Amino acid sequence: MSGATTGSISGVIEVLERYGRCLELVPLDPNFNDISVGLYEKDGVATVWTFSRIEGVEVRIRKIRDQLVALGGFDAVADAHNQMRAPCGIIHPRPTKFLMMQAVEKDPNFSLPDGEVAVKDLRTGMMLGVDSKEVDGRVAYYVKADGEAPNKANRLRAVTSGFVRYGEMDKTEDGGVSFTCGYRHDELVRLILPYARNVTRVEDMLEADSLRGQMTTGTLGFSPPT
Amino acid sequence: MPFVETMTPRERVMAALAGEPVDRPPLCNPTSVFTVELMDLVEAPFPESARIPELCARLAATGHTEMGFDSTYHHATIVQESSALGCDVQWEQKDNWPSVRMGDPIWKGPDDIQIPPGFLEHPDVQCVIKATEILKSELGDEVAIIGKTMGPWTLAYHVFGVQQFLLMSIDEPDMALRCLHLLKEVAVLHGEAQIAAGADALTFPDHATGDLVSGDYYKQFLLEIHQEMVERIHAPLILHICGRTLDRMDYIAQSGMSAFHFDSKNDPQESMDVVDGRIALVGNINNPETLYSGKPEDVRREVYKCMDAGVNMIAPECAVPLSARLENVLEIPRAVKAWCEENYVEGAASA
Repeated sequence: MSGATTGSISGVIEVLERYGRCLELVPLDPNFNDISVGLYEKDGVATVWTFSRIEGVEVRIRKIRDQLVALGGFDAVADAHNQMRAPCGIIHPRPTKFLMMQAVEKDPNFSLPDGEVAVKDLRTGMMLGVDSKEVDGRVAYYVKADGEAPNKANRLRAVTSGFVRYGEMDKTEDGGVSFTCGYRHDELVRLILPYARNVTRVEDMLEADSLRGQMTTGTLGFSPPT
Repeated sequence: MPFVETMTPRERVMAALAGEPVDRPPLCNPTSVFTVELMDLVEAPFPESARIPELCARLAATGHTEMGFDSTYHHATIVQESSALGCDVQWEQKDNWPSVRMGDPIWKGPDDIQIPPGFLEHPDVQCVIKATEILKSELGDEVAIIGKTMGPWTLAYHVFGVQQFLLMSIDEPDMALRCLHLLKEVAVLHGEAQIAAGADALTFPDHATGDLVSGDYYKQFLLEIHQEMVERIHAPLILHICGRTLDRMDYIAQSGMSAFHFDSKNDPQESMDVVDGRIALVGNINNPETLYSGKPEDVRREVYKCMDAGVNMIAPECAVPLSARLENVLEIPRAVKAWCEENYVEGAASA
């Protein structure tokens, strides 16, 4: 008897009804038995969920939730080991992808540096940072750079466009960017900057990620790569 | 008035494959619908569930028990026959499909082709046969058990390498055809073994895809072989070819196969017009953009497009991406049933 027809403890439909849509799915958790970990969202509550029932999984899910809270600036839901809310009430989907990658795939004790946001621009050698200001109740962020490089202004515009792409942010009239909710999300800005500075490489990474697990004539080797 | 189902899932699939009336188009998946989350749910991860029959069957069962399809499909990728023939297989991790390492082909031409005497006893072949038996005994009264036997064109890619075989087909077409005739015996052997184990129907993937070969190639190399397979394999066959296939669908419709599993690169209505009732169509919900990256409303739109066109059986276009969102896969049966609620009148049945 294989147990093929054995009913599951938490069936798929029940889980989706309880926790909502899956915003992001990490197929393999390298830090815990290669389980899959999803971030589900319903009514403004984000839930870290796995269908795995391996012993110790609840502890691991709590750890991931705590990492998401720390890295993304979420508020943990009291009395829940796997849930959180965004302070603005909106779980921004695009940054969530990077947030989940960091919270699940990096060392469980990984943390982003404190203090002023500063990342070296590998293309120019400048140090990139971000300033912010609040105008009419909306927080706008501005990419800045210490150091000199040819076409510095173009470079800053490119990194700003990276924020638009990976933060799902809107450009402001004065060259900044703001989240659609208008709230301050310094943690997300710190998280996104390293990706925003290198769109080409990130796109390659995302493309490789998206092809993994797809069965196509290309991935099977039956057609030229497109 | 609410739509009422009057057939069991198995009755529905088998009727559609026979071209008979059905209460609604079956959710018939000729390729897999499992994902990494379902692997966790039933503790049957890759690559173990591609090699251990009990895990293979348990994972496949989720296609019906969790996802609501009218059939099960338990072949974790397309390597089993080639593994038993001696090809080197990269078994991968949970989040990726096992694949044949085609860069190091095992054979050069027809004289090399030999089906090993213990082919059916090879563990990777036995895995699917035993999984078929398990699924048949546990779900077979209710659900259609779909097996799979690879066609000779795909096997030729695996054993000779894609480039080498394509060059052979250009430079020495008679030799290529001889290879295909020798390799078709693998399909018969493996297919009949699965039927004996309880498979109700077989997917027959043969990747003469639009990306690499023309529609005339299908006629020149495969049409007669596929017609022969229909005669020799004693269960309904569902031909599967990825990519653009409109230019060969007229030939495919002459193959005698029960159904053609078609890709989303082909418009459902155009495809239905070409086959004109000569073969059933099953498909063709897009995988990369819709099931992997899209939302349930995108899935529903594609299901409705297929249903509006009269596509006979509804399914993803190919194996569902392993990291697809379950809500998207679940939307396929939900959308089929919703379409029926909106469009069917009492007592109607469709062929």
